[in-house]
Amino acid sequence: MNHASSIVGAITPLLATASFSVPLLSLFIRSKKFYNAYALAVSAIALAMASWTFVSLVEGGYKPIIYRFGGWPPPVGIVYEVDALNGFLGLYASLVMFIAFLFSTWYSKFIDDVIWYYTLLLGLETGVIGCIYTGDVFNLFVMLEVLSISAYGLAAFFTRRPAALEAAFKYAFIGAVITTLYFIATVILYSAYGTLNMADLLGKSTLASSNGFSGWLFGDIASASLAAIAFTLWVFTFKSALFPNHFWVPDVYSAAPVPVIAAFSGAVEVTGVYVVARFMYTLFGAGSVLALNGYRDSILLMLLVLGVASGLVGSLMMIMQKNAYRLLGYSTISHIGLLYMVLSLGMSYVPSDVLKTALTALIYHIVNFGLGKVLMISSIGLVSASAGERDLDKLSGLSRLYPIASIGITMAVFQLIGLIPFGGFYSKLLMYQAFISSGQLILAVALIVVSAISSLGYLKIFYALIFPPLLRSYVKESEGVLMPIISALAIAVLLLGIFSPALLKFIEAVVENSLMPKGVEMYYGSFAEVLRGYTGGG
Amino acid sequence: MLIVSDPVSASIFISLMMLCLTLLLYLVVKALKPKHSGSGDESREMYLGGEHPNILSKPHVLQSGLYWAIVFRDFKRVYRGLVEKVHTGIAIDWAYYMTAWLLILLLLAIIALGVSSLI
Repeated sequence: MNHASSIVGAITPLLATASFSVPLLSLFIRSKKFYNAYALAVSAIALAMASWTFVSLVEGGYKPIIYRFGGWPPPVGIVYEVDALNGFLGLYASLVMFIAFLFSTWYSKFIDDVIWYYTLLLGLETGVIGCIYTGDVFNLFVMLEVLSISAYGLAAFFTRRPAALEAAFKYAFIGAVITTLYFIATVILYSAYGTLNMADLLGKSTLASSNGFSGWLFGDIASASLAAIAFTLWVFTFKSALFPNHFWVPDVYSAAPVPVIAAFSGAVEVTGVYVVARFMYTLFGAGSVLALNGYRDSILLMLLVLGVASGLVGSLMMIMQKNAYRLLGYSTISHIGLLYMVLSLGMSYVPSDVLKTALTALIYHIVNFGLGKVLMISSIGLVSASAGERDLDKLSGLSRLYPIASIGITMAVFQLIGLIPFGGFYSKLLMYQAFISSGQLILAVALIVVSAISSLGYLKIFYALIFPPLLRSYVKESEGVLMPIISALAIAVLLLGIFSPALLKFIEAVVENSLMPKGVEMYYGSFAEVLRGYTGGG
Repeated sequence: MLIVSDPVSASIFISLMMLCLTLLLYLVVKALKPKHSGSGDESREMYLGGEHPNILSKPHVLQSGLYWAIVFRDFKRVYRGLVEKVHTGIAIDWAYYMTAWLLILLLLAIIALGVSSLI
């Protein structure tokens, strides 16, 4: 077992241990500064480990890294299997979570109980990284529970606000039903395939192989796959907030602590998108049993339609919001719709080069949208938390007190609308090219219409925070750590555009080595290699 | 590279984006512009984009004013549908739409199974 493999296996136990240690430490230490430093340090270590993992992947020619928990062989034991896709997204999610923790060190002055705040936020990062790195569908359920329970707690964090309790209750109630359905999906898969390992499922769903540990098939894999994928997609379209499973987002965003909103927007919902991509392209790809009788194509078509609906509903609803974070929630729903529009271009009749362009656009837009949204939330967070208000009318002209917030909001709006030379423009351009190349002109038009309508919503933020005069006098809070966060993110979104040719080349390699046939083969190949180590060949 | 090698698509994309933004700006300007046509008493009333006259007592136009100015008449039906039928804020309504999506997924699965049994 090499260093990279050990690091992959160590990230989630480290985060989980750090999370559960916080209440224990609170018996001895009550200093808020200590917990700020503690959580930030843990998150920084997780970011360093995710970076190391991804660098190791690139240096190893994107050959997937496998970590066997407890040394048990797959598919008997749980494994984490990190390929180019989850290696890249793991790094991205760790970065977003690190920014959320950094932001929290400033925001903690508005929080009475940092103990539970950091316990839950570290738990959320555990769930996010676990869902991304795992190579086991049941472990995915466990990590989904860790993520979800932390998310419910964070949504209800301001327990004195009725809106927070209502939002968390609705989110948790429906979320509990949803995670149960995913559990049923794993039971169905196990009953038919005799395995929970993702790579093993991939081998069996394409009828390519059996192995000495999980044997051959146990049941009707066609029926089982159809039922399991129906439940799984329903669950992860909820987690990723795709219409009509998006209802929780505006309520939760309008009530949760601001750094948590950044984590939700940049990492949690992206995790849902990742899992859908993993199931539809790796586990049940074009050559799988799911592709028989056109079910896979039908599902992708439905996701495409819902992507367009999500884009339109999100952007239309943005315009009528008065709460700044509710508006950003609808903006997230709109961008998630765009992500699903490109994610679902994998129908059997779409040429592979077009699919590669679409999936490159997917990954590139995840980064552009995520960092743009975190920049926006940090900038508005500086203004709104200082004023203790979230209503746009009551925040009137407040960013005049904070020039860095004005700069951050302006850059984030340009990034999210997709103006030249920001990264958001290039990812939308790539989406447009994918739609045109696939002959879907209507999707190209939908992309432009969604971007144009959402620009009106972003205009409201400008109109509220930057243009009008201050309504009353405020005590200005120190920007503190938000100054470097906003500055760095503002530069980053600009660089994402300026260096788009190099970045696209890099992301193309990530897609080629993960979601495309070569990558899927490598994903199974690494698993088969580990198995050969146990069975001595064959 | 994907983008640099296809200037035609880039030009069309940028032009369409700019066209949409220009149209939206035109709508905004048009909606906020005072109307001077006609000579009756009504024509001398200030256009408030559908807002109640008490908005003039505010130090500046509220955020909702911008929204209503643009969409008060043209998109009223769309928003009524979105707010009264979809985004009602009631949990059972969420469940209704979400269940519909699950049922579609299951229905597609049943159809696919039916097709495979016929084959």
